Amino acid sequence: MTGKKAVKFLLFAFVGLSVAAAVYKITGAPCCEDSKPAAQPAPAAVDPAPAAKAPIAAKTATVYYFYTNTRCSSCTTIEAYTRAAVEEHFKQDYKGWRVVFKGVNTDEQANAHFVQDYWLNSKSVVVQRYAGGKANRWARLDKVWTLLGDKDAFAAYVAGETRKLLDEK
Amino acid sequence: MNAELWAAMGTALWTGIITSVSPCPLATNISALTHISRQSGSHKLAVLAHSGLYALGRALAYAAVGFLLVKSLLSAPAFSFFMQKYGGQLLSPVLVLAGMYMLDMFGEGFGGFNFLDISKFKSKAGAASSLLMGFVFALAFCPISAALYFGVILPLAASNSAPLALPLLYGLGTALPVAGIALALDLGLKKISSVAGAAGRFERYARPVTGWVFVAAGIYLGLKYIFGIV
Repeated sequence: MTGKKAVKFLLFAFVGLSVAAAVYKITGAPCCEDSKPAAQPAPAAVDPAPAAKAPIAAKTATVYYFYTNTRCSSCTTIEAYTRAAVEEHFKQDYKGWRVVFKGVNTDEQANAHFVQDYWLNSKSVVVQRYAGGKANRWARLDKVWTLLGDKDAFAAYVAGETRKLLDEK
Repeated sequence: MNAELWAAMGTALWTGIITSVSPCPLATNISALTHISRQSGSHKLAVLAHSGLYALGRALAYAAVGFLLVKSLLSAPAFSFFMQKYGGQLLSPVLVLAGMYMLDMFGEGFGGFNFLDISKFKSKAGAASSLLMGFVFALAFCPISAALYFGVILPLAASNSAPLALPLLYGLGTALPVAGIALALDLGLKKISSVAGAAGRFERYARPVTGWVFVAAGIYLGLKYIFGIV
């Protein structure tokens, strides 16, 4: 077999394998196998619908970072910056609100509802307020994608939007 | 036109540029760049024409998606996640096969991808390759393009009552960096050719190089989106 023929064979094999794997993933994969992350993700949290679970504290806000199995460099940066912003700006409670960060994989079946709950389009940051055991106001922070190049501005945006939400009556 | 709409149009164009220069669409951008650049020398305006058509293809794809969303024929979250999940997976074998075709691996008699070959359609539809490539590459949403298109451009388009103009400008913006580099390369190559008398040498290598770039991009997308290895 000549070199060119071998390369041709290998490429055809790759195409065949890719198509078969893709078709299997789309149509035939068992539900829970698909939820295994392709790369090491952030610690995932399996949360029910925003209104379904009462947080422990009376007044808490969760800054969610929603991701999928497929990771990208911009996505991991958003996750790291958001986590850092929460840890830096909300070490102490804010006006009685405890603010926590949580990463959630929406490719896991139990979390798939978040896509519709918050009308997510991609990896996203959402601040959800819980008061008196119930989820109420929330905000999706879409500008995180345009502030990726400026960590300080990113942190200020996340902190500012979170405070704005918590200041609302 | 009021100032607000002008600002929105500028935002749409700039957001497109930001999308394109992020790491995520690098594989498709390199593929597009090599495909467009290899037209250099076939005609003095070939690269400009193919750049324009590539941009038009991208713009039309975003406008079409925007139109379908406005008409409520698609659910934005469902469509966005579907394309992010499967766009790369579908594109992988297509790119590998297109690259193999450019490398003449299907045998000389094979003509199935003729529409991709400008030389066979010079007089008529050769332009289809770049137009189609722009359209398909735009639909292979990656996280940043999905976030900016669905999260910034479409709400902006809705608030300014410009459901077609802003997605079109966004699409043009996403093509500008590739088109700009392709045109710069074209100018450079023409200068080198005129000085060193190297005309013809570039064309000889352009097709196989483009073919291998397509194969590499396809393999990369497959490893990333199908097999989850990279």
